[in-house]
Amino acid sequence: MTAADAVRVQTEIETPENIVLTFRLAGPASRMGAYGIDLIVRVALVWLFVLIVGLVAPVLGDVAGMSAGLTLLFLFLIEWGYPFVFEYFWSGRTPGKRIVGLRVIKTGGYPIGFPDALLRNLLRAADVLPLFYGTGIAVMFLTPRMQRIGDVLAGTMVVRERRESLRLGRSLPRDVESLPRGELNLAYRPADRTLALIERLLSRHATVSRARADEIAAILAPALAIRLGYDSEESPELTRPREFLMRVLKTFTAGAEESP
Amino acid sequence: MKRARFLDRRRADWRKFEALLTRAERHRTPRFNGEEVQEFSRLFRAVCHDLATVRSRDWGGDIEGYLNDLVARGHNNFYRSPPARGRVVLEFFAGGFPRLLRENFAYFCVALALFVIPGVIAGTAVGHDPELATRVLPGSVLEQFDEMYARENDEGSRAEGMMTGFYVYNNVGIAFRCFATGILFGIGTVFFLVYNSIFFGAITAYIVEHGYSENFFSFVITHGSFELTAIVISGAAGLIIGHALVHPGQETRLRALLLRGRVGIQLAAGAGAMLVVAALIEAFWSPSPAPASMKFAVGGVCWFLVALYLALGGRSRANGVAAPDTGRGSP
Repeated sequence: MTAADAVRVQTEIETPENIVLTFRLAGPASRMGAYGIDLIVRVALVWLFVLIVGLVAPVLGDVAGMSAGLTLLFLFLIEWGYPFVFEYFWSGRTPGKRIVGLRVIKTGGYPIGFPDALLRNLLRAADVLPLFYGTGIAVMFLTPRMQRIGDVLAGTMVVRERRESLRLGRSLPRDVESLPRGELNLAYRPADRTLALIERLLSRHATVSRARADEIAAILAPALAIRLGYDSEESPELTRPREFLMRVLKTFTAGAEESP
Repeated sequence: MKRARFLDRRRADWRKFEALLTRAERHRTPRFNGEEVQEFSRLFRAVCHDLATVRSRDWGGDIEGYLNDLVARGHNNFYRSPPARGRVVLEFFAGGFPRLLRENFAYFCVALALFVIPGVIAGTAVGHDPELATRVLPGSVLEQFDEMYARENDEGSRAEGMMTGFYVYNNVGIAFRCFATGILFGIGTVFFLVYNSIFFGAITAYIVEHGYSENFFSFVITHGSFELTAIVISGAAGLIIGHALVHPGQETRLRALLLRGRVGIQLAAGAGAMLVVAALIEAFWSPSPAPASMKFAVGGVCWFLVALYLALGGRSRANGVAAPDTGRGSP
């Protein structure tokens, strides 16, 4: 059992096309973030409503406590209806979830339906107990898909949406040169998965610092260098392992990646 | 070079699929013409195939993540259920709701017992010793009730609008909580039912003791038909999910919760709707200056209608399915 198994952050679904889809599950922290944003939106909506009622009521005449009644109705709708209405009509997203990048879907990978949205949101009344969603968070750690009680009953889960765009070839700066063909052991060609790994490392420059990338590159670079025919591990290429990996990538993926 | 060539060749299709998805996600039901639907399903299968290829050859996390995302979005759009229609809601209240309640009659009976028995006991106790009422209810609440029912109905401020809002906010909220907390092994539901039962029992006995019974009963009888029944129904819904958790029967616990949760939410939604009706009656009719005798008559009719609806609603259809051949020879 690896660390990745101990805390499940992914779940897999097999589609009718026999494809296994992986979804990244949203944990309590990101969901709380979304909840917080929604809370602000909800307070703002109520505040706006009260303001409008306060402006309109004196003009139309406040018959039979109508303004207070409407405010209470609106409060009811915001308290119980807000997440339900948004999740149903926005296919599983409230404004908060949209900003944080979360979506509620069925555990089968389908969009949620009317009863699902209603059930999972009414059951907030149980999840929220005793304080600050204590029960809900506890249950999230006990269920394999990080579901709170409402999710379990409705058969839903909250996933992180990744909108990834393909930016292949962008991981390499333009001025990287190919390794000179003459010096190489042409019998050896790095496996596609190795090249993919290098690409992944290089594309992470936003999250992995240059020094750390060098450290990681220093593990792979010597092994590659020897296979490519550089005689010793002290060859000048290896003083800057990250640049070396860039050149390897350029050498073996050149041509195809030129197109923008 | 295989990987690079693969990317080059397939990327155009991925872009096309991405564009279709973006359009599909803009509306609740994708607005595609026939050709686009065909194109969508062709591309969807193609992208599925690509994802399988990338996975089997280990061609890198970025492409895999990208394609996984495309397939997930495609799956999401391809297999979405048809949007709910108003007719479904109408059918639910015309027949589905009372039918479902009758299918779960045992839960209704248990909830009813929990809602009646503690109240009767509390009421009897307060009837014997009115001082006990102060044990259950704070003095300020009692004074408020004193004032409310001592007064003749025709005066008083007209606040129907506000009271409607208040009753919806308060009562529907209580019913929803009563249902939802049933998942905590039924404890929450039982608590809500017993607590409210004792409250109502004590209050009723207290008011009767003080001789305001006509004002009180003429006030509560009409909306009580919807309100009290709905609270018992929401209790039944809570007991259903609690029971599924404690005793899932032949199913796994998770599956029992999914199945019974579906039943519970329908009953809770029905109870919520009944409480909205009750709130309107309670705000507009119950405090109206109509004579008590008339209120009792209307209230009686309402109780009768609620009972009739829950006992018989949606029966004709069930009978029609069960015995389709008996009606032969009808003109």
